[in-house]
Amino acid sequence: MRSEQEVEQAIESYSDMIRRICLLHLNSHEDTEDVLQEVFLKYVLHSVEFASKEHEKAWLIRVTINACKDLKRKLFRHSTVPLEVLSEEAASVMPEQMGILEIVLSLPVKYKDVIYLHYYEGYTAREIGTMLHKKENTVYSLLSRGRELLKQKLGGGRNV
Amino acid sequence: MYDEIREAFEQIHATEQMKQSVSEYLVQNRRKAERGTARGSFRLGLRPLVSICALLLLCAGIGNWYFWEMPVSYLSVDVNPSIELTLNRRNRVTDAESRNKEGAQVLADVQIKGKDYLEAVELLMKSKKMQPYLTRNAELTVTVASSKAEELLSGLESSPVTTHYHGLCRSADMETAASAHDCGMSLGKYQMYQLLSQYNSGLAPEECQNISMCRLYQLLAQYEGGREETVNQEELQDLQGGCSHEEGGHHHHGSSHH
Repeated sequence: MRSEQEVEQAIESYSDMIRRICLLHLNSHEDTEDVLQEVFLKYVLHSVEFASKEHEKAWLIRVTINACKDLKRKLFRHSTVPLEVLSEEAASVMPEQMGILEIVLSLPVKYKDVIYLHYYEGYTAREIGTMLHKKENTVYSLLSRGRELLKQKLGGGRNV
Repeated sequence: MYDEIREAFEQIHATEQMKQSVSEYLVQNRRKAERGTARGSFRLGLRPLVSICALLLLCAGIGNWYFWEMPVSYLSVDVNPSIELTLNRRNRVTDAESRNKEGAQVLADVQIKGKDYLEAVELLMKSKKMQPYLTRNAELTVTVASSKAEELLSGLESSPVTTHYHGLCRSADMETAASAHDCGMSLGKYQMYQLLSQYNSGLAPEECQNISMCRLYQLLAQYEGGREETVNQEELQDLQGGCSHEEGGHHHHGSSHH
C-alpha cells in the first residue's frame, strides 16, 4: 500500500488530468468525484512500483478511462454532450474556449479520448495505442476522422 | 487549433472540494483496506496451514484407525460362556462381545479393551464369573480367525490357556468368521455346528448357540462313533442344560488343532 505522502502528491499532480478525462465521458461533478475516488483508491492499493513518472501517468489515464466506462455502464448514462458539467465550468472558462470544449465533447466517444490524449497530453499515436489497447493504425484513423469532424464543426478554414 | 484545444482543456481543473473529498474518502477506505489486507494475508497465510492441518488430521485419523481400530483378527473363547474378541494389528482388543447371556455376565466382570490378547484371555479365565465353568470336562476352546493365526495360536499354546486351563486352541478362516457373525455365533461354536451338520444332527445354529462346548463335544463324539439319529426336542433341552459344574478342577485335554 502506498504512503499517504505519495498519494497526496499524486492527487496534487494528477487530479486535473483525471478531471479532464472525466469531462470527456461523464455528465456531472458527482460522477467525477466518484471516479476520482475510485482511481486514487486503486492507486493506493496498487502496490507495483512504476518504472517512471510517465509510466505512472499512463497507468492513471488507463484506469480513469476504464473507471468512466464502468460507471457509465453501471448508471446507464448516455454519452451525449455533457452540457450539465460544462455549465458548471462556465464561470471559470473563457467563452471562446468553452466553445472549443463543447465541440470536442460533442464528438463521438471513440474520438474524444484520442483527440484529448494527442492534442492536450501530447501522446503519439503509438503511445495512445499502447495505453488504450488499440492498434497504432486504428489510432491514426481515429485521429484523422476526429480531426475532420473538428474541422467541420469549427469551420473549414481552420488548420487542425 | 492545436493550441486552442490545449488552452481550452487547460481551463479545466479539479476543484479543491474534489481533492478534499478524495483525500477524506481515501482516509476512510485506507483503514478498511489495511484491515482487509491484513485479513487477506491472514487468510492467505492460514489457508494452506489449515489444509495441511486437515490433511495431517486425516492421515492421523486413518493411521490411528489403521493401527488401533481396524479389525485384523477375531478370537473366540467358548466354554459355555461364549465371548468374541476383535483384535487390531497389534493384537490388542478393540472390541469384546458376548454371544450368550453367560458370556455377557463374564464380560461385565472384566475390563479387557485395549489389552494384549493373551492378557485379555487370561483375565477372562480368571474372572469370578468364568471360573465356575472351567471344570475338568469344560472343553475350553479358543478359536482364532486371522491372517496371522499361527502367531496368535503360538502365543496361546504357551499361555495359561493351554498350560493351566488345558484349553483347546483352533484356527478358522475369515470366511468362517464372517458366517459365524452372520448367525450371531462365536467362532468356536460355529465350527462345532459345522462339524455336527456334516452328520445331519438336525441342529440349527441358534440351537448350538445355547449348548455348552462340553455337550457339543459329547454329541460330536457320538456322531463320530456311529450315531445316526438326529437330536430330538427332548434331547435338545437336555443338551442345553449344560455340563455339571460340581466336578471342579481342570480337565486335561490340552491339545491343539490348527
